[in-house]
Amino acid sequence: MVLTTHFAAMGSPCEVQVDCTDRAIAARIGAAVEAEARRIESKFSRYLPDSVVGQINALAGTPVTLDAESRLLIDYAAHCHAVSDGLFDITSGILRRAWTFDGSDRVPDAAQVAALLPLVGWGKVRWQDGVLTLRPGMEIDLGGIAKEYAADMALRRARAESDVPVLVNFGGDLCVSGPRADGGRWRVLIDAVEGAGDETAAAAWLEIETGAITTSGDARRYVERAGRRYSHILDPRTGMSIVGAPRAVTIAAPTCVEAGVMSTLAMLQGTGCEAFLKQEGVTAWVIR
Amino acid sequence: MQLNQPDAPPLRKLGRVAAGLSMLSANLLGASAALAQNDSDGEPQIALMKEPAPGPETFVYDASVLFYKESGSRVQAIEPVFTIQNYQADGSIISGSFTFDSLTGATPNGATPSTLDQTFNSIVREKTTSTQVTSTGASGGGTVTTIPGTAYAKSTYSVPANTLPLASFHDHRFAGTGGYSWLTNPDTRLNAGLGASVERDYTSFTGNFGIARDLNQKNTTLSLAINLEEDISRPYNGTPAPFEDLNSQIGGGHDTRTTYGVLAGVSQTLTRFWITQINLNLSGSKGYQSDPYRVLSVVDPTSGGPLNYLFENRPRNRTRESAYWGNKLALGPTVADVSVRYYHDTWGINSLTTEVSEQVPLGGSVYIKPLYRHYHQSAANFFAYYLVSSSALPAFASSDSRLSRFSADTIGGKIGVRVFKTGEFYIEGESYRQTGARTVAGAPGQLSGLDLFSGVHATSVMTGLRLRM
Repeated sequence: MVLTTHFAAMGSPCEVQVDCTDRAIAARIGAAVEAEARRIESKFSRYLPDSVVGQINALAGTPVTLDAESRLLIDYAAHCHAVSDGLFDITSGILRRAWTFDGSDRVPDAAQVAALLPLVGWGKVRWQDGVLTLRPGMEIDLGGIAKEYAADMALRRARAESDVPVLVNFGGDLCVSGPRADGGRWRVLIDAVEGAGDETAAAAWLEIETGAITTSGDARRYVERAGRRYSHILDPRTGMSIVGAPRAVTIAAPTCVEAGVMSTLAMLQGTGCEAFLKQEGVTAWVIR
Repeated sequence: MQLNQPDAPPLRKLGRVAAGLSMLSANLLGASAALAQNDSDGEPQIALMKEPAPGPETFVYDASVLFYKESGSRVQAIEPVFTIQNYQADGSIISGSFTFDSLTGATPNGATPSTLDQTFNSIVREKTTSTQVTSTGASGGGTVTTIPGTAYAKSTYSVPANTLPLASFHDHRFAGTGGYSWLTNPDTRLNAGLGASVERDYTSFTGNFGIARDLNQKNTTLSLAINLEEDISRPYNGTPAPFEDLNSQIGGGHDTRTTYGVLAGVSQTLTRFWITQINLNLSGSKGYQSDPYRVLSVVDPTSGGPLNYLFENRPRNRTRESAYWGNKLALGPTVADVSVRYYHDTWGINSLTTEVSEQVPLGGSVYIKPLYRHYHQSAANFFAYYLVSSSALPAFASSDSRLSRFSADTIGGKIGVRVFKTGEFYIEGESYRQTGARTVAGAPGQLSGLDLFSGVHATSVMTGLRLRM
């Protein structure tokens, strides 16, 4: 029997599924997971001025010393930047200002993008001994990490409450404690490729037994001009839209943080997405 | 559509990127879990920095106005200050400031009060009478009359009985500074600065040069600085000779003073929440140190009444030493500053300043910073409220309350609001009160019953806007 708790956090519908019959345990696990989601949201959301990210951005230009947990996340982002040769970059969010993903054909001109590029690039950031200094005007955005991190951490909290099987699903970033009580798989409906309008595949059933699964991509967020579709994922090195990016990439990995960065990187490969995933040997589903 | 995990756990023979991510992710979650167990909730999420310096290619503008008022119709000042700093891409910093003060009011002329009205006659050079500082007395009307056939005029003002004699004045001051600071290597910063301050009767030039070196991954900073100051005093009525009578025709022109100082400091990050700093300062000055407008009453040894007034005389040499210990502590979301300063000089003044302030965020973009400061000093060994006519003149004497033994308490506060994303609007207020001995044991005659202390109670308000762009 699966007992489910629903709540909304981090701009997404969230759920916790607990495979047991004891409602008290399920409620306790649900509360622990929700508390962890809210803790991480309030700490790392860029929309909250009092969050660590909000303060870092407001204090751009000033060195700030971060607490231990924030250091770990920034270190993680820095290492992801290095391992991906600069493709994964938490400073690239500022490029949103040039793009408006409203389904119209408004495409920013090169000058607009060029004006923003001096504010983009992890290499322009000073990160040393736990002290982070952004250049004035720069911003960071843990959008590609924080929700995934929250899912992984929430699962850990759940396991600390009880050893019953648990599934955590934060807006499509999901992870499980292991197989269900009967040894079977979890079955979840995800909005992986939500309606492009002309497609039939509005959602997908996903089955999972261990580890985590995340999905990158959202078909609604694109700009189409002269028959060419510009995806919402931007190359932080050029500021330009990735050409030939798939509509969605779903990755299976032991943890959400790992799967999340991998799915972002796969999207950034554009037409080379499938080849990249094959070369990296990860379990993935690509929807074009 | 259905996405199924493969039946067998996937054989994870990963590529370079995936393998790297896999290891990083495991480390992240492992370390985070360890943190959660250690319960780091009490730790502030953002801690203070040793050098909260803006990033490169930034301008910081700060415009403020200080309003200062002493109670009892004493000094009033309005002081707008404008500063600009430019942080350049190579780490160098160009800075400049400009100040224009307007001071009006009255300041003690140094004489003791008396149970009778007192009249002060001073002889001033006639050509300067239009700018004569004491052209009107604060406590009574003043007149200036030409002495026929001479280049001098007589300036007269009266002070009522039982009143501390004050001389009124009005002055302006322009001051400017410029500085340049640059890195010779990533850990060594040099800085040089020049400054000038001009009043109608006083001009001051300063220069400084310093070096600061970061060690130990920037957790330690050593600094050494030297500074020079040259002051030129051009009193309206000329520079009086030591203990010259107020009524005499003053012959002295301008006089100068030269000051050399050296400062050595070390700043150390002890923990992420505690930065401490120690500064040692030594300076020596040579030259004219007296106040050219300040007199002392010479009183009758029996009645205590004033007989005449002599210009004060301070030693021409002064060596100062001070030690400062400051601490910055992050306590939860607040930042506390706690400091103590000990000072000693060859005039015999020893002082101790203790100060505590705490910056408290009020949520949103507002913070408050209450402040308390206590100061106590011993008197200079030549301080005297008055001179007695029957005693020989001492080598030096001054009745300036700033050289007397006194305590001062300052209570203040600051409110800052973040505006325009990178700016701050602030208002600071301070109330400063000096307390000291009002009477002198064994004072002759009438002086035993009069309040001789001329310390001040001042209120200041400063408001400003700081913008970083």
